[in-house]
Amino acid sequence: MNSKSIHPLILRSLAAALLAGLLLVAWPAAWLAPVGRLAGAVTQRLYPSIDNLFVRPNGFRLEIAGDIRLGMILADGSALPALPGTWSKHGGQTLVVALVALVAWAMLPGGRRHWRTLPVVLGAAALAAAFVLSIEIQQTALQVLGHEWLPRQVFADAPANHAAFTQLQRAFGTTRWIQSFHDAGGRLFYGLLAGWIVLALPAAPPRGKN
Amino acid sequence: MNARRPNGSPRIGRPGRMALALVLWLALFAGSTLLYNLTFHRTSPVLVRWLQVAPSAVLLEWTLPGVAVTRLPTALRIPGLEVQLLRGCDGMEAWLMLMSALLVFPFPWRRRLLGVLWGSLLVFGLNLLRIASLFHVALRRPDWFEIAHGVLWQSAMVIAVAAFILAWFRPAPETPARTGDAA
Repeated sequence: MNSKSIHPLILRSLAAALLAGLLLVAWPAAWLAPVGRLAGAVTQRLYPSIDNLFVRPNGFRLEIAGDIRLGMILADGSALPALPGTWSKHGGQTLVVALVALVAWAMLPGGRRHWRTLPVVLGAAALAAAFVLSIEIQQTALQVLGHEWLPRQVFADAPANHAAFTQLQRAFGTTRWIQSFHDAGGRLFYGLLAGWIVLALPAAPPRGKN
Repeated sequence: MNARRPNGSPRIGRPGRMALALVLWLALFAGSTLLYNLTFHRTSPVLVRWLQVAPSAVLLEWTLPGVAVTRLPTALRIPGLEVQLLRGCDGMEAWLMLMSALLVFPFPWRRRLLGVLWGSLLVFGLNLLRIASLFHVALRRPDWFEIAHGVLWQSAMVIAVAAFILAWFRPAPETPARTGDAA
């Protein structure tokens, strides 16, 4: 480590943190809106029991609405109706993933060619932030289901219900573990990986050569 | 840090090797975090009480002259304010992030060992500053505590770890252009 290499690194990091921080604070919806849409798609792929998911930014907050559908049968033989849910979450953690990704990317030295990798970094950061948000949505939905809604229903003693309960328990355990990893720095670690994903990209061939 | 690949990235490793290193880094960090979470009840007397509470109390006594700082097993207390140090407040997550990076990235072993030493000093030093500064925030601007704790300091720790890792890569010597065909 020498001062020649560390000073530009620190300067680039500070400049990126300042610029990205200002942009994200001034226009949070520019990041939260696409990440919200992506989170909806990720959630429906990872946990299809949440249907009609809609994520909309409102300042620094995210308004989330969706239906939870479980293939369970009530004691009277009728199907368990869909549970509509609405949540409101602060989008700060989603914005910080973008901030860390941009600072990590800016730390890497490079000239104009480095700028060409920015869309890849933003895409990776959006995917990471969407995954984080999706896990939070799933965790909230499963908590509401398990602690508030399902205990109030009377279910039939049917194999389909037992299978659905087992699946719910498994999903709850998995999302709880992932959430604890995210809370333990994993969320920002994804941002760091998104910023450094450019290191894993093949080098662009010099211009004018095949 | 001076040597660059044609696309401007530092010469840290070949892209394929770097992709593998990033995946391994994620796996190792996730695994070690899980282990840390599972064993925290056993490690907290050392990690929190002796490595964080005791030195942070010294920092607070220095920055709050004339105020009696009480050291509790997992908390710091002054008259009118008590700040609890919970799991994750010990800087271990940032430390594990750094240690797993030193393991998976292509460093010579001697440099890895030096990295463990200097990196540990950096992370635990920063964490003491974090605890002391958050105590002051809780004391003076309690409404800023959440953002300072959950956003600013968390990001600063991760960015500091990233800066350390990048700085730890020595500049690779420029390879002289070879003449003649490789085949």
